[in-house]
Amino acid sequence: MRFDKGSVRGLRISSQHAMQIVLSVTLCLLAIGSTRLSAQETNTEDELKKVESLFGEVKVVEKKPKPDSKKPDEEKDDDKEAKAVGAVANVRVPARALALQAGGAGQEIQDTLAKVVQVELAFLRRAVKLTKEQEDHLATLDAKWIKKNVRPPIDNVVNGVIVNFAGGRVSMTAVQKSVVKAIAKEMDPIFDPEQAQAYLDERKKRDRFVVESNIDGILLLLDRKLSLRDDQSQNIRKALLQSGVGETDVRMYIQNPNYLPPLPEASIVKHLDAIQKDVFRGLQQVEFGVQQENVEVVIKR
Amino acid sequence: MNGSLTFLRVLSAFAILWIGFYSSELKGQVVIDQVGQFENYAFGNLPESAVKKKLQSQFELEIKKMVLSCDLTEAQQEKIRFAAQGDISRFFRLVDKTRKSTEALNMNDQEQAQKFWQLASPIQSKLQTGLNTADSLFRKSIEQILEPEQQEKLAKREEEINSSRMAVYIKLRIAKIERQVPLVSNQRESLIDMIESTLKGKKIPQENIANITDIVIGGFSDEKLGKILDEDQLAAIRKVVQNTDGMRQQLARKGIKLE
Repeated sequence: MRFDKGSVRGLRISSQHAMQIVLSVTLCLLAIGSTRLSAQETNTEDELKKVESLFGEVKVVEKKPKPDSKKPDEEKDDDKEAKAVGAVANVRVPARALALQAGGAGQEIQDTLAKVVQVELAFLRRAVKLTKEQEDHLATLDAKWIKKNVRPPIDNVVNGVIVNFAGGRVSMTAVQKSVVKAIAKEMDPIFDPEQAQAYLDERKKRDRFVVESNIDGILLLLDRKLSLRDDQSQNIRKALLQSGVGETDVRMYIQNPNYLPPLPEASIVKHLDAIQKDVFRGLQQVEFGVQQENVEVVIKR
Repeated sequence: MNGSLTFLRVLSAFAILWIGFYSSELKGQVVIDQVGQFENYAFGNLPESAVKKKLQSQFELEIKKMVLSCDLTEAQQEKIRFAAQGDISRFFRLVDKTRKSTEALNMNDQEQAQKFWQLASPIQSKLQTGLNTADSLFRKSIEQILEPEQQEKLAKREEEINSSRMAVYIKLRIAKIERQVPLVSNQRESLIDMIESTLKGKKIPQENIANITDIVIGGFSDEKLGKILDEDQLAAIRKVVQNTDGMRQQLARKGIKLE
């Protein structure tokens, strides 16, 4: 192998040339990388077809923005921070990637859905007095029905990470919502108006109970750190109830009291005094994601 | 042209090899910036002044709450504030001592890094739990400074806080139980009432609070639960709430009977 003299000299002396070479290598590596990515894209297409055959069209829901109304300058800082921390947290995950995540776990999803359906039907039986025909109809809500009618919540994105049903890390609240929606759609036409109303009322009371429990859990966490007065607790509770944070599963935060879930800061801070504001701003708000839950069915009917 | 191309190829291969070598070197060792490692770990990247302010604010909030619950006088507040300052100074003396002991430790050495974590962890956990602990000067000063009437008011207030905290734990646990044992609203309300009335006036140790709902439900007879739940629900809740006998006996030994 023989080198051109000028090139060799350039290698030794010129940092400009060295930079050019490094750039070329980087470009080469990028080219190799992109070839690999396109190969993956092709595989994803196949996986997507498999998933769609199981669940129908896959829809993506983006992570909702943090429930807050910050000042414009604070928002700018947050944006900068988000970019600095890593774009991953804000990546919009394509539907096909989500589908791919769920692809290998089709049966597992169906099994979990079946368990949640069983528990929800037990709830329905206690909320509504069923006729013999209606009871018989419940028996038809089997695996085949679930496959056709219950859309699994595989479109959950927590902290930019796809929450995969297969790992059991999908929010059970999301699963339950999918199941309730499908059952209500199925049963409402069969129910008389009173039964439909009774089922709806019980569902609302249950949802309200869960939301209020979570909000009270958040208040407990705040009170530990901020020593809230009763009037402050009441005002913050009201604000939190309107904010949508009641969907947050606070049990993990109760176990790790040094962290708070992402909270609507503006609606809390306005009820605090100067010292509390200082302490509150020093608290760490972390999104834990979802907790693995035991979905073992223990109720017979 | 051909020569330049070959030259570029060789250089590319060299660069790839170099990148590979460099990255494998990086993988082999944990690179930690040793400067300020103690503060980074123990203070969570906060400067010492901010930590001091945070601790002062925590105490100040406690004092404010006491003013509301037991009418502290200005003179009493000052004395308690002085005790709090003592706790903060005591904490920073411990920080200085620990910092000195960790200075010479090399974080790239696994054994020494482990020793570092052992030494620094108590500082971190003290910061997380706060300095208002049973052995704090703050707590001792309250016991000495407050008049008996004020002590009584304060104890009553703490009892209220504890029972409202307990109520939150109960509700959160019931919400979770319902994922397996569905309850309708009147059953839910009755079960919570039953648990709360069993716990009324009982001082539950901190370590049992997280499991208190299960402990109480586990102690209910079938007859008692049967007044709220149907047969299937009763069987199901027994499967969810298991192995609480030991904890209940432990509480009974401490004089807390939950029936």
